[in-house]
Amino acid sequence: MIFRRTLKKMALLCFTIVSIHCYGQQKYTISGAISDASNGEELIGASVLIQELSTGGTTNVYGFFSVTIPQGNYTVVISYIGYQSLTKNIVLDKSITLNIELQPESTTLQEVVVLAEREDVNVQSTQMSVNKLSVKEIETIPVIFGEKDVIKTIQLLPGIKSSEGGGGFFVRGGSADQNLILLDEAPVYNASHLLGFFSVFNSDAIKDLTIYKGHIPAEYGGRASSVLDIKMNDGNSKKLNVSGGIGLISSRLTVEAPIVKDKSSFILSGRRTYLDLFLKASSDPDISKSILYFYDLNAKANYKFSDRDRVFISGYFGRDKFGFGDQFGFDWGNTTTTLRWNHLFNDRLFLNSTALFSDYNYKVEIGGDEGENNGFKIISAIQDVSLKEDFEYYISPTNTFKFGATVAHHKFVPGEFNPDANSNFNSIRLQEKFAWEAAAYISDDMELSEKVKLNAGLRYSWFSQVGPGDIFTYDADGDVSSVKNYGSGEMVKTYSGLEPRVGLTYVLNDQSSVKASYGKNRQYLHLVSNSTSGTPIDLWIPSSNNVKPQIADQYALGYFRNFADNKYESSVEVYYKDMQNQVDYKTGAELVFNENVESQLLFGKGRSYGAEFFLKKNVGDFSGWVSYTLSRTEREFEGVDYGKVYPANWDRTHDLSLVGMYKAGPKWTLSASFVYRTGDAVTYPVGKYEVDGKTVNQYDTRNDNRLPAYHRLDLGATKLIKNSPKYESSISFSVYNAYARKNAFAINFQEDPDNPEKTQAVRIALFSILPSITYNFKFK
Amino acid sequence: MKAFRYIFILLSVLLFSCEDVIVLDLNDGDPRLVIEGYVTDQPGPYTVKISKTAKFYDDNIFPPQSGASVVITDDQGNEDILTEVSTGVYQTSTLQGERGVTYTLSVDYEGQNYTAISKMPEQQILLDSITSEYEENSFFNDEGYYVRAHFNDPAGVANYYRFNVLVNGEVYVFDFDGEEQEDDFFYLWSDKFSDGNLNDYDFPHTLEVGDSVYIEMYNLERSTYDYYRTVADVINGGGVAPSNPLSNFGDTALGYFGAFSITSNYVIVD
Repeated sequence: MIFRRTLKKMALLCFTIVSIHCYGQQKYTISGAISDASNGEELIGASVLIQELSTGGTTNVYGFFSVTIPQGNYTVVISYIGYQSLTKNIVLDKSITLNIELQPESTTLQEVVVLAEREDVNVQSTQMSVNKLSVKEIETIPVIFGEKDVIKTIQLLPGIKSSEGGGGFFVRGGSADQNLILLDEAPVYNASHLLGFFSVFNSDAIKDLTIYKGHIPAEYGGRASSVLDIKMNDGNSKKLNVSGGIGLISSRLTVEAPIVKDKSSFILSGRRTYLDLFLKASSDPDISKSILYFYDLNAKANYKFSDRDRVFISGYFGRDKFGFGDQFGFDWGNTTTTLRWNHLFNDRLFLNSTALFSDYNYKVEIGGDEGENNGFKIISAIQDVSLKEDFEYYISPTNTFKFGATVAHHKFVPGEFNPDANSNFNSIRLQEKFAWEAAAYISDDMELSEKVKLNAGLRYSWFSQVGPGDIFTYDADGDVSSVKNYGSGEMVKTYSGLEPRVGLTYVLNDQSSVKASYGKNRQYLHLVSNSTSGTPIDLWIPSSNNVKPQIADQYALGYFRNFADNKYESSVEVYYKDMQNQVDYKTGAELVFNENVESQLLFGKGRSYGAEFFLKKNVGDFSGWVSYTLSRTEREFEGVDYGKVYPANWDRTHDLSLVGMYKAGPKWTLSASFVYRTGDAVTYPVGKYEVDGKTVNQYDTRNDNRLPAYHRLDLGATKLIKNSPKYESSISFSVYNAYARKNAFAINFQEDPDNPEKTQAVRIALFSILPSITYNFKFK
Repeated sequence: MKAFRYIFILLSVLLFSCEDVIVLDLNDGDPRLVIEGYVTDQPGPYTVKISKTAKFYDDNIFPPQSGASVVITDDQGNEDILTEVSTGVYQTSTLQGERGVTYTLSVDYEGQNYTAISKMPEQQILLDSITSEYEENSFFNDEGYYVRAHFNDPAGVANYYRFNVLVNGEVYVFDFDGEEQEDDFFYLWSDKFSDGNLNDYDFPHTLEVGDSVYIEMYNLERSTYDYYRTVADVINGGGVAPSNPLSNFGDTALGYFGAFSITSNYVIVD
């Protein structure tokens, strides 16, 4: 009922906003798509400037733009960083389509152009708390094992905190499950490979990425803290292109080509690690029989039916495999599929329709002893199917209106335990869980005056856990107090609410602006994990009669300033985030394979506040950035230390990143990155005692201590070996942790092996200095 | 055990991890009382030990606490006032543990009362047999003889077990690639996946022909099992947010009071 009423209000509001702009003098529309002339890839965020009016537009994430202006003669300048600008004179006496191909300025691997959009967009737009990274930046920054990595690179940005040896990241104090990670709009439920040392995103297949840390646009929803929106390449629609790289632990290959020139293309990009091949060579059978690798496959194809209709299909398939002979196997991975149809109703109304599928699952297989039937298999999964409609209506160069709706079905398979036939073990299936999630939104991005711009969005989200299944309630001790059976599709518990998202920009002058924003985000899915930053056996659970949705309210204020003709951009942002219904665990919580896992949870609140400083140089031989975050993240749970406020494990007072890239002549590009951050908040023992003849550590207040500060320098260098029109090759060197800092991954408090009367603290550091080398090639 | 060691070796090869001893500035907690006591269905006397915690960087000397008033009562109306037989060690005189009976331990010390309750499981579960078998070098085991305990788990109830192992009458010493470690592991088992079946429990001790192996099987109530499970977690590092084990003393004292039934068996490896 509430849902329907809200929809009605939204429809009314849509109508009002649209109709306001239907009157006035005769106006026509210039619309079209802007793409790269060398490969046909659509350019995201390219600028279309109407010189006479000093106004214009930018292309959306699908490469489409639309500008509606009065009749007249105009000079249109189309530009995009790293491409030659194009000027066109047009006589606008009717609406026209302008499909433009821009020539890249230079095609060498060497160029270090790191801006992915219009030069002053950071100052002028209504969006704040956002970072974009170009593939160039990701490629140039040195990373572990030379595996360029999206997730590792965004962790160098302000407000985004990493954890070594974990795939998770933390945005403005939010926990690791509060990040919505989208690959071609499909949610990715576990973005880690190899227990978190690599992400599932093969940067060869990636075109663009944006991370929203606050003021999340109304078209996104479902997570409390951030959205990491990753778009895959569409594939070269001009000619066959084969590129790849051979690295220390992995190799990758990408093939892209037109299917029908300028109409249809595909891309296939794969990556596989081969550490296991080295392990096979070992004389130690423990190591030689082991299996340890992961692979990724990204595939995408598109077909352009006309200027008005284009269809894309893309998929991601990745898996980690870990095992030992046939005795032990453990594998996990994601599958996502996106079917997308872009349709232009007219030159001002754009529709993106998507059907999405996402699956994450893991399997454990124990072979058991020969002839004894004591082996077993465990599987667990989460599966999403969803539909989404996103409309964009280009009312005028200063007003863009968006609206849309989405509906998703979630299926949770918490665990199935399947023993061998005639086993001592019983086969056990934890109940599957089901839920529906839906949302509708409107948002309008408009200039209220020369100086004041507003982005006002409203999202209404709705979630319901549905049967079939037995639904439990629990008493204070966590024991089952009642059970009720629900039929298939019967609603168990429904939650819903409004999520206003508002951003206001006050433009001080061409180079500077002040922005403020507020956003509410509701999160209906929760990650249950016995680590802070994620493992393959983490479990996603729906909001239910026992688990309320997480809610985050964030307020942010920022000052944005560019210098020297936009060569430098800088910003200072402060934020305050209030988080409700956060999840933690009872002492001794049994999270794995537990029908009553909800009874193991504690609920509380959290808050985070901080200041983020960012200075970036985008162009020139030397580029890079400095990012510093001063912040505090606290949690408060009645079940932890009787409600005493404590710092979250990922609370870090100081977090500094320095990134530099230098083009040293025509052949060499050098890069370096340095990070420094306060150590994680952890719980050290406050004493020890003896029971059962064993020495046991005594603990007191949660997270009352700090790991030693973390700092690390990484270096990289790329040498262009050959660059001809047909072939290009380069070699990259990188050194991770160049001065071999022993950063504490963990500290063990244990008996002193040399003196049984003593106990000692032992620091475990994961990586010492770690050099690597990668050879890259490209057939053009 | 072996599986984790293997994963660790593999990750070490992969990640070049390194370990070193560091000295940290730790907060010192106030000394707390530690009470450890049990009642079994075996003949008494049963002991209760009372000590205090020590600072982490001090020697492993846990001051025994003398002069406490220690009483065990049961739900059958029996009461046994324990006598202090040596400093901090208190012993029963008349009490005989029985299955199905609920016991209460009450300690008065330094003006504070500490109480814990434990019910001894009603049913006796026999450790039916122990078998030994030769195993090739594998993912789980080094080459050698290994023992396995067999017992019938009663159907329809959740059962919890702990095993104690003596090899040739002594505590076994593991050899982890040259590093020797006394067997102080908790061998715990719940029938979560095997309720009502013939259950096996495999032990990681690498043995030779002629070794005699004596195994005790404790049949525990859930709260005692949870205590052992969480104390094992603490000994293994405590995870992300280490905290003191779940104790039936609640937050008043560290340690636990358990009532459990014991059966045992032995085998000579051949």
